[in-house]
Amino acid sequence: MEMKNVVSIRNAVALLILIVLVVLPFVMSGYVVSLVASILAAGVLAGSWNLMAGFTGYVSFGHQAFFGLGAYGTAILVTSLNLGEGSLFYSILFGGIVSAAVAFAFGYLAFILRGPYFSILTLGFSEFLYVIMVNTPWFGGAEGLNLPPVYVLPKYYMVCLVLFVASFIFFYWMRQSKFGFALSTIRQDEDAAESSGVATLRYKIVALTVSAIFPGLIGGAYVWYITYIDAVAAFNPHVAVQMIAITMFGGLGTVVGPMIGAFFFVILSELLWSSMPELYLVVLGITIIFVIEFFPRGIVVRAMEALKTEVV
Amino acid sequence: MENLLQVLIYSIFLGGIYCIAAVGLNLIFGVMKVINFSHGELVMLGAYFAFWIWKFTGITPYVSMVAVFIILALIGFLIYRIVKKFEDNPDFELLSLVLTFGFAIVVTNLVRYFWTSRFRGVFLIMKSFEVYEMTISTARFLPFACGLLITIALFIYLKKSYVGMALRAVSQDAEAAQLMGVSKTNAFLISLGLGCGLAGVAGALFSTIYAVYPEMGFSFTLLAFCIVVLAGLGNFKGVLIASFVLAIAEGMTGFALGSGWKPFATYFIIIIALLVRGWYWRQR
Repeated sequence: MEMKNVVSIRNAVALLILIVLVVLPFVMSGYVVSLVASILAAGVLAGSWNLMAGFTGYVSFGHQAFFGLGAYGTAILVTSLNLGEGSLFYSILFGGIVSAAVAFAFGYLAFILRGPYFSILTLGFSEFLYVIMVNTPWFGGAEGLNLPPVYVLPKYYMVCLVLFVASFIFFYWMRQSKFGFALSTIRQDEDAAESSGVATLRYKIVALTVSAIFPGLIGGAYVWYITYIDAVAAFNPHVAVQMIAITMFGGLGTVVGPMIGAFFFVILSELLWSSMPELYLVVLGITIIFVIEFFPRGIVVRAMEALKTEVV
Repeated sequence: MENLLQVLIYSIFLGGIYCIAAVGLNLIFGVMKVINFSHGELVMLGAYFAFWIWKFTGITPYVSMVAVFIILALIGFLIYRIVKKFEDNPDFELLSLVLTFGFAIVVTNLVRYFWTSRFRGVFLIMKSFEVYEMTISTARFLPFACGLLITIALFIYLKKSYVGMALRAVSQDAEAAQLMGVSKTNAFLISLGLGCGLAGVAGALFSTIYAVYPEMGFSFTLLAFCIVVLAGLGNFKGVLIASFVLAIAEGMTGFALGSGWKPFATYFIIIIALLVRGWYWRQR
């Protein structure tokens, strides 16, 4: 009886949050909308990283590559074909496909490795792409690529919201699916999983591809939003580190952890940024250290344990 | 042709500095299994300390690097305080990564806040000498010589001394080493102290030839990671070879394609080396 109550309260809260998020762009100022959009985007990015690190046990240090590939895929399509605002959704989709295709191919090679070697390979891969992009004129070189300067904040917000909801539903479904169980066996003991007949390589490649689609789409939408991309912004290792920090903040291997972590992390960055611009990164770093020291499993897991509910 | 030889020699000299930075990271990773994401920031701090000592007292980094080593070793103990709580946590690797990343952000931005983003450098006036009709600047040769000597001294220390043996024992099997009466805490403290101190020394030597600025840390972290991975985690002789291989590859690529392509060689070699390594493991 009690469990049922908790579940229905949780569903009601989720529904309420969804309604607020849908209504928000119609009633709030541009600043709030862009802030919430960056929370949603950060949540999707962190959730994608969590799919590899938290659910599959493969820690990627180079997930910014998939964000960057999506951004570049979209930007190159738009600039080389001289497309206008009407192509927004198709071009974002194209960015996501580029990112997923590269992830699929990369997975075949990369999953020969495990543990820290895999992690460093992802970082090397991302930096490799960065060096190519920044030195090749066709990719805009060091100057980057400019998109048509259009105001797309409402559309950007919508894309972020759709991706946020889609990724949430996907991760929530995945937990109880055969796919999710397969990933969980890989995380716990890959050799045992393989010898019990789990097609580990196939599952890992699917997981990596999925965890690359979402950042790719976010990257594509981001390019439209800021109307400009260069290699430094697209392949910045701090993007991956932010995904890691947010996920650890919220709770590794949980569905809602990265999403709630993103909320706290982005709000905290914004508050610090506006109150003390010179020292904001110092305080942010100290906060990361303290949160990990006191809540190593994440604030969400801690809160759920305190409320005695099932950890989602 | 002469230019090429010059580039080759200076790349080898740079390799000597890479070597000390990477050997420290390798020591920490080998013994503690901690991924020290702030390693490059420690190199940067070492460079700044050497610069300030030179600026105010005129003592050259070759002397002050002893002081820099001690200061950075103390900072290493501070890092130990931060990560200590999670020693036995199954997610130790990941937690320490995030913690040291947080530490790296704090250090970079404190340095930028107090010492600004200006490019700094230690200017030492030294004569150059000639070998086989090649002019070689002493200012570039000395850091290389120091780096090589320190690295070799560290190898001998790890190989021959009792402490070195204990460190190697912990890096091979921490539990078994503890059963044999090796204190894990002491091993961790010594490896962090040595590793971070050496990062500082690398920075001090670096400051005598190249510009010092707050953001230089991250590229050093990446580079040290690459060297350690190429060498094999915990393999010390490999570090020596890998640093020179990477430094030469960087120099040659920069010479052939322009300096923007320098890191291309590093990452290309890393990716190929890792894949070959993985393929080789799979075959066995």
